[in-house]
Parts: sequence; C-alpha cells; structure tokens
Amino acid sequence: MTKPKKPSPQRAAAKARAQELLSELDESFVSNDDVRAVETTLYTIASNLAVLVLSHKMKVAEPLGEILRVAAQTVNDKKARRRLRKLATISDELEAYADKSRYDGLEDSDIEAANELREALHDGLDEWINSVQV
Amino acid sequence: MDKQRSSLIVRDQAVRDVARLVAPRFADCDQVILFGSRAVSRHLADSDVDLLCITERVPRGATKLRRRNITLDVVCVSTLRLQSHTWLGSELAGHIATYGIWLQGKDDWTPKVRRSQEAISRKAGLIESRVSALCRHWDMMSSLYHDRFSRIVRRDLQRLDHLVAGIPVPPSPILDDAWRETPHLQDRLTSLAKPLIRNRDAMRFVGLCLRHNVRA
Repeated sequence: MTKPKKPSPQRAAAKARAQELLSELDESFVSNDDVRAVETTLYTIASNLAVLVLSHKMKVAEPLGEILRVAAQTVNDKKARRRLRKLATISDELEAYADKSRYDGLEDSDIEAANELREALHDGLDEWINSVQV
Repeated sequence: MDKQRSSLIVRDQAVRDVARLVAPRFADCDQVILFGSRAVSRHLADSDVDLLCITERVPRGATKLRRRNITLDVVCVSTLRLQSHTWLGSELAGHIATYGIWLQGKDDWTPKVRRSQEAISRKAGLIESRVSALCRHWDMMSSLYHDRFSRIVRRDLQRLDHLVAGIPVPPSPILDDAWRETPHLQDRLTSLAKPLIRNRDAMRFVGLCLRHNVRA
C-alpha cells in the first residue's frame, strides 16, 4: 500500500510506538477531560508516523491530519490514498472536539460524536499502520 | 470603543478579508467577533482565524472550518450562556473584552466581564491534565513535538499568571514577545509553574523542558 522504504530500526521503533499508542484510542471517551486528553495522543501518534512514513521530512510539528495527508501522497493505490485522506479528515474533526472541550464543556451528543470519530480513526489507523513495511 | 473597533474594520485589510470570508456562513449569528493574533494584526499567513459567534442555538459539530486555505477556529456561545457568571468570568471573555473586533452585531456584554476564581481553577486544571498526558508521552515524541508542546504549556502558564493577576490574556504573539524579553528563562518558567507546585507532573514537565534544553 505504501511505497517500500529501506529497512530501518528507527522506523520499526516508530511503528511499534504508534501501534502501542493506538491502544489509547481504543478506550471510550466518557467525560470532557477524556476528549481533551486525546490531543496529546493524536500528536504523539503524528510524531511517530512522521518518522515511519515521512522520515522526519518536516519543519514543524504537524497535526496527525496533516501527516496523513502527506502520507497519502506517497501511496500509489488510489483507494488507499482516498482512505488515508478520509482518515485525515476524521483526525481533524476529532482534534476539533478536543479543542472545543478547552473552552466549553462538551455535551453528551458531542462526546458521542467524538467517540464515533475515535473508533473510526482507531480502526483505520490500525489497518494502515499494520500494512506499512519497515 | 465601538467606534474604535469599527474604524479598525475599515482600516485593516486583513480584518476586512476575514469579514467577507465568514459573512455568509454566520449571517444568522447575533454577534461575530474576531479575536487572537488576527485581531491585533500579529498573525502569520497560515494563522487560524479565531472567531467567537454569539447565537441563539449553538450548532452541533466541528469547530474548525477550512475556507480558501484558511482555518476558521470557531467558538460558539449561546445568547443565554453569554449572560452567565461562568462565561463573563472566563479567560476568553476577558480576552475578547480587550482585544476582540466585532465583525457583526454590537457589543452589549463586555462591561460585565470580571475576574473569576473559577477561570483560574479551570486553567490550572487544563494545564495539569495536559502536562500529565505529556509526561506519559514525552519519550515517545520527537524534538519538534517537544518544542511545540513546551511552547503550548509555557503560553498556558503565562495565561494563568495573567488570570491570577486579573489582567486580560493577550494573543499568543504578545505572550511570545514578553517571553523573548525575559532575561532568566529557567527561573521564570519555574516561577510561572509555582501555582501548580503540588502537582508532581507539572514540576516534572518543567524539569523535562529544562533538561531537554527546550527554549519553550
């Protein structure tokens, strides 16, 4: 799915860390604080995906959505590229909920919507990260 | 104040552009207020456009919208909530009362804005939960992300310092200017984190910033 790169222990470690972090996205949000805390998880995943698929080619610490959009450009398969772009949008929306939780308490319907995004992001990232060769 | 703000709208091309960009989407809002770096013309080309919308009914869903390569970061507050003590004492209300530019509607609430202990506790809680998460994730992040989050936490500590002193919190570029002019950064960071001294993670985070030699 993603163009093969030279094997590297650094990328293997980044892949393992990204997979480990995904377990945090597997836990349901119950409260406003849970949604707020997802921000650092998303950025930490982004940091590791930057090493895994972009080999650190970044000047600023981009959010996960942006990393996924750049990663999509490295993918040959059209369907896979679309899936990655869709994941990028989901990530942006989830981050927006985390942002919203800073200013105001989220309502139950917001937390429910954030949970749907979290699940979709978890499943999509899990499938894609597993497919990336190190 | 209204006159001053109106003249800003006419004079500042950047603000005029923002107003034109957002007008159709927020036509139903009672008030639309620009805040953050763009309100003080200290933004970069890719800076978010921060908007507060006062509306009868707060819409569900995303608060970030992309329009012509610009991200609109929208905070919606209901007309009912606008009059509440929680809102009037909030960090954002204080910021907007001083730095906000009205793009739509009239300011009928900022004279009621006041300092609040609730906002201080809320800010301290936000910093604490963020540094707890950062302490867990720190070793899994690259230095670019260390820089980003050190800067975010440092700005939040500066904001907390303003709230405690009862001073409206300025936009981030003004906080950054103040930081650059600080002579003893390590001492200042430790002193800013003092309100959180009982929080082990907060103090550990300050230690991490110093040890990694991050110039927050």
